[in-house]
Amino acid sequence: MECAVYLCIYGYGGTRYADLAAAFTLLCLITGALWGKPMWGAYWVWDARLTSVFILFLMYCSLIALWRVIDNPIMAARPVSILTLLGLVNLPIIKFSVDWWNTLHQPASVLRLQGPAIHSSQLWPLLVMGAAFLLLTLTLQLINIRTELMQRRIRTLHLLQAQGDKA
Amino acid sequence: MIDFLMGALGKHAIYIVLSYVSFVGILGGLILSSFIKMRQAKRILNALQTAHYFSQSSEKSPNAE
Repeated sequence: MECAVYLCIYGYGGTRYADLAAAFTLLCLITGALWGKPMWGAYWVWDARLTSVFILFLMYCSLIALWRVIDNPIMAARPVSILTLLGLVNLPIIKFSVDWWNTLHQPASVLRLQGPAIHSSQLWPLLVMGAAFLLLTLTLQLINIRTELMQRRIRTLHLLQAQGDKA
Repeated sequence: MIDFLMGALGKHAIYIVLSYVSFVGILGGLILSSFIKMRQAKRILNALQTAHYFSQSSEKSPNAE
């Protein structure tokens, strides 16, 4: 398991994915707060769902910080993969927080055994937007992987140049 | 429907506008920064590859000696 995550992170995707994920989570928190004010009467409450999503955002920020603090990507990969494994614990907590605790946030309304509780006039736009976000993430991630590949080539060429200058 | 939307926009206009601004700002920033980083990396890589190619070819060339 650790090897899989280690490879996934040391691989070209992981280095950049945290940036995307942090931006999406921040967007979720901001627009959620703006929706919460007229609906709930408060921008923010420390209920289980909101707090667990906020912890997810902090987790992404710490991943980004860890990548930036350690210069060598090979050295950085191990602590980042351990932190990612720790962060995985948060995912089921986010999903089931509204069922496990009595929260201001409404209970699960899309992914549930009895079928979606949302009216189809809202469910379909939600699913279409979900698919659009997935495609946007995929596109941006592919661009980021390409950039990472180029930056690693640049690093290699710099090293070759330095070796050539020494010789 | 339009009446409903106008009513909703009138009452909660500030929240809707702020949501759109944050949406466009964050997503736009993300997309722009991804493209800018890629173009920068491409430019630097091209320059380095060209320099590397010329340094290699000048080492191999008999004129260099």
